[in-house]
Amino acid sequence: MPQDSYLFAVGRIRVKENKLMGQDRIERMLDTDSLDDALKVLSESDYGSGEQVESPYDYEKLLAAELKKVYDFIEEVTPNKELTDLFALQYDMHNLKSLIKGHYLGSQEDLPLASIGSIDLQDLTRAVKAKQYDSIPDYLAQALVKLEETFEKGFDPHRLDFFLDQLYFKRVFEVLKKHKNPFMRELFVKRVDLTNIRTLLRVKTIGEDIDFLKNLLIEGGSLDLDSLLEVLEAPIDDLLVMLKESEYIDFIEDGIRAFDSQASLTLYERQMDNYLLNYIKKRKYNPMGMEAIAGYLLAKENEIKLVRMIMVGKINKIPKVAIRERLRDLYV
Amino acid sequence: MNLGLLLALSGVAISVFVSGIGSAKGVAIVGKAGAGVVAEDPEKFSQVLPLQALPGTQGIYGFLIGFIILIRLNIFGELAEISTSGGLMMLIGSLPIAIVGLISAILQAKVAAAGIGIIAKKPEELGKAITFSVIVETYAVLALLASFLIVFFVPLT
Repeated sequence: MPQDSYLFAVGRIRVKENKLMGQDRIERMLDTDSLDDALKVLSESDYGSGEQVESPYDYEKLLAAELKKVYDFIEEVTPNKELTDLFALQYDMHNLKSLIKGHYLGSQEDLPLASIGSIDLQDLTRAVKAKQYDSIPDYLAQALVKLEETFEKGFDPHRLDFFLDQLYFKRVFEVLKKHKNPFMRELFVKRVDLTNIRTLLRVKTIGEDIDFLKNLLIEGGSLDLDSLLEVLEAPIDDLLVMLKESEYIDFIEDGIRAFDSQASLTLYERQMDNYLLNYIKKRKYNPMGMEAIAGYLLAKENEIKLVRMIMVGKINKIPKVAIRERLRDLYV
Repeated sequence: MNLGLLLALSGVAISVFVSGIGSAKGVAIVGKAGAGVVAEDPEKFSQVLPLQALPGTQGIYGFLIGFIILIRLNIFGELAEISTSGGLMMLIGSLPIAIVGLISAILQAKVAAAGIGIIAKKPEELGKAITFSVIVETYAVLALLASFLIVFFVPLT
């Protein structure tokens, strides 16, 4: 049942925050020697909704169930579904990408679909496969029609990804305009900025030109897009100089330098996540706002990412030190 | 009925209902936050309850001032004589607790709701959560005192 104020939601989340895995439990999971033991730590943390996992290799099922549980919980307590749906919308976009790719490339089975989202998965499927748009939101229907026209000449999966990523942020800022929630606005502005920097670095790696980057950058952030375009073909120091005045530089400088020397975005992405988690962490004590809800969601998504990293690492027999290196800070 | 009596009774009404609204809003705010915690962890009920009760005091203070005015008017017997200026002073005397009661109850509730967050994590720290919230109470008590001094000591005629 949707609630009429944030208070109830935040009260419930405060208790749920106690059940977040925390540094010590993550460490304990990392320190286990067998996959079964690692899985045991998860079941201690109430992962999933009580389904039995037969083999540790099925851990993904458990993680998917856990994420679904979190989103169901948020939907149950949120006093502002439109705002919290912005987080779920990412999964709609992900599903759309899979469905459309499946549609054009003809693969029918085992599409990697998430059971989370703000729009019913069947409605999405119907929209893509049967072109019946009556049960999906108007903006999405219009976008799908436009996509279809674009792909008449030929399907381009990259184009699809960019298109839907941009559509996602466009929708986010439209909704945010209506709700006047400075915290959420700021959060997504930061997300756009950090995503744009990552896109810039990626485009640098594949050696494409400014026109290519221009189509990929997302509007709505605080960084000037033209300046970002300018530094594409310049040395990495120019990017750092450009970011000097921004609030991000202290957090992501190492990541950008690591990218420059090792051509790997791992550190940058970790710092990007840390930055966003940190932004929320400082604000999560507001008992009457979105902060705690967004914080819990992101913390949980982050936790699931960590668990996945540990499980993948363990399955592939990667040394603990190397796994730890990749783990992000925890939010508790 | 004279104007003085009318003004004094308005004072009673204002002190009771304005501070009462504040307290009702206040306990509702903390109640919602507390219900969230108890929904997840029913054992925390006993720690949550004192926090919910805190913003309820302003309503009681307002009622107390209203009651003192009524007593001075001798409401249970033959009504006392009261001049227009006397009634006006009673009305003025009701304002501190009415206004400060309204605002402080809601602000106190917000502090208490944040305190509920402490309880959710560390139930043994209830004392600290209460302390934060009680500090807001100080100003309601001062307003009560001011209101009390006025309505108790000013002459009726």
